[in-house]
Amino acid sequence: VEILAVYNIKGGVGKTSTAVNLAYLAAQGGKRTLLWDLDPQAAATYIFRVKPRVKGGGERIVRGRRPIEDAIKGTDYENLDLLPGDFNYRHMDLLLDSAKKPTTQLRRVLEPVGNQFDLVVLDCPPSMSLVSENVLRAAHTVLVPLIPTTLSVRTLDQLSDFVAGTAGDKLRLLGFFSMVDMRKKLHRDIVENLPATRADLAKTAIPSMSIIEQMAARREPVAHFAPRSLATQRYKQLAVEAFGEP
Amino acid sequence: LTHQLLLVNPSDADAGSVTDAFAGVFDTQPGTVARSRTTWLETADSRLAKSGIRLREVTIGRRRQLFLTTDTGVVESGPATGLSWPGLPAQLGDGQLGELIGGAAAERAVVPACTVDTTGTTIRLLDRNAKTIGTALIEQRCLTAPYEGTLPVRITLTALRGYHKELRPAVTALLASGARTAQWFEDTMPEFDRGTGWLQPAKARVTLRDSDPAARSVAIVLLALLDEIEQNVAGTRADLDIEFLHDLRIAVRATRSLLKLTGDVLPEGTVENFAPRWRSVGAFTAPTRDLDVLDVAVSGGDPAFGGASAEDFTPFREWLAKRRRAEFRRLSAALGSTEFTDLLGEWRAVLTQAAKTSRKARGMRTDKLVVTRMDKARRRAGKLADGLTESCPIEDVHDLRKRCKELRYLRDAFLTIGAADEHRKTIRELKALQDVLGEIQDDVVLLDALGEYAASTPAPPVATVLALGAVKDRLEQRQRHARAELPAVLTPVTGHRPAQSNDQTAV
Repeated sequence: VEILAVYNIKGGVGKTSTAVNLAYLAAQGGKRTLLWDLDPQAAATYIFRVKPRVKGGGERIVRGRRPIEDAIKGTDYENLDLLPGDFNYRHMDLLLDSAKKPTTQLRRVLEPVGNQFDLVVLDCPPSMSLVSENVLRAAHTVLVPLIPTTLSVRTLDQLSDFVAGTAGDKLRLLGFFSMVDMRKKLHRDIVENLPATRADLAKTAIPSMSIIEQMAARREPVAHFAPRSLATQRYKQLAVEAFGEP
Repeated sequence: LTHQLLLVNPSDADAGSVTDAFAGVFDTQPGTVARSRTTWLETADSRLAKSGIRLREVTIGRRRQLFLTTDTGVVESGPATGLSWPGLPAQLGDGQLGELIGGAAAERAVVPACTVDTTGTTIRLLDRNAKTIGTALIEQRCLTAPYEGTLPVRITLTALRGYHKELRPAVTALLASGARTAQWFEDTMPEFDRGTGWLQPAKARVTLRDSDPAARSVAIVLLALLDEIEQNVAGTRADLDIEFLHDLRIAVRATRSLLKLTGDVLPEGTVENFAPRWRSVGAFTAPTRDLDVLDVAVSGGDPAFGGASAEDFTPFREWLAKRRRAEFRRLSAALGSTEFTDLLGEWRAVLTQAAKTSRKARGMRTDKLVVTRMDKARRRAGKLADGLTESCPIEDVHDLRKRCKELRYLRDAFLTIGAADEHRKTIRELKALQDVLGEIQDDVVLLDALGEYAASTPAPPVATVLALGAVKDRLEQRQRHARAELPAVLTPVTGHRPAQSNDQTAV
């Protein structure tokens, strides 16, 4: 099973939108896909209309006292299952810290369902914590949504250093520009010039569009309710860069 | 990962009425509509069912798929593209499906037993957040030819992963609307495997009593044989497989034997009227069957035939096939002729009348008929057996074989009369004797055919000539063995020990 994490230290950069749409597109493409909503805010869970509650509590899953399979919910879409978010995930750092091997718990928890899925997408909470370290050790690819500003590029560098110190070179780190507003000169300049100079930046940029914001209102992936939109086209291109043909 | 329930709604439900059953419990969202056709396949004598196999062909759009299930739960499937039914199992090739079906059906054709057209409507069941928690597949099913009619609607509930519990109210709602569990439906489906078109209904058990008038019992037995004959006519004329003709001929031979041995108890003139007509049926059905037997004998090649391969016999088989085509045309015409149809009709009329004979009517009792005719037949066979020697003409062996067959048909027909254990023993012994006599006879027919082939083919391929030579040697050797086996199987049946001849092993 391939594990793809969508992660950034910052919030509000388009992590959930990316995770939801990439998971949906992978499932549509025939990959048996699991989306794990690790964010206590459970936005991905909300979009899929699933109750933001893990049966028995997220704590028991992380501690291995309850099989992860019991908590998985089917979505309305073929090939796509969801491990819901849970407000208790806000304590996940503490849970992980008390475990024997605190930095590899997520990988261990996912092992039993590895043969049921072709792709696991992790929608991560915004933080630099033990959860992040677990995500980096479990994932094969980490997608980092970046708002095209000078500081955001610095974030990618910080993450690269962090990854080098935790997961080594086994992990592929791929940044991409998100919420791009082409009316802004700074956005235009960065998006047009920077990807050519860095191998860890995807060529695809996700525009800032109201149709993407509508996902929360419609509670569906944009790729589902607007399959021909520019946003969907861009997510498809990003999917190809992230894990090949969806 | 999904939880399925099968429910059958006994009323004429449709997708709309099933959706109504969920009102107040779930919101529903219409989904897809799909059409499919399922055809159950079987041999005419239910060989698949007897081997615990159920075979279905499912067509969805242009996609045709075969599904095989066994009693032990094994499920096999494979594409059915290019297959046609009725058809022989050989068309399935060497895969797992071909092996299982070929193993059970052997040389019998697999024919459509029953076809069901299904329109499946899937609706989504939604919770209060408009989240899908499961689906209901509503299948409206119609039987098509040869049956016609509407089957109960089948509803399959499938819970999405993690929503089993939430789906339970759907089951309750359906049960409250008059649906019920469908185990009986699954139990009933094998019934469709029998009794249609090419297929024979289960053989009616003939009940005879020792004290019944002989005329009544003989008529009942002959009526059962007539059913058997009629059931095999269509399959024979369509040439679905060689077993239809085989079964038809067995029933005809049994009819002729019983008419000969017991026909005198039927109304006056019956034997004189019908015996020659049934003899004629026996005659026009024989050549095709003989050619079938010959083809089977050489179709697989045989290490016993000097290691000859199947290909070595190809020219001979082509020669056989040509002759068979000509013979089969004659056979088919005869079976479709007015003479044959009249024979069946008149024969049934006479037998039906005789079968109505009152149980209290005067005349010979059934048990007496069986005892006296068995004795007579046994004596006749014994007399022929006395005359057999190792070097006697093959016609003598053939005569004995025919008498033994008559004896066996008589015993088979009146199995319930007298001591059952003794009958079974006799039948076992007769079977052993007939196997030996039959082997001798088949070899002779094959040898004759080989001679004819050699005489009519100016320059057959060398490999074929060598293969046929090996066959000939082998057959002669088998004949000697078969004749040597005769004494052991002859004595228990006829009560006579065969004559000795020049200090050699007698036969």
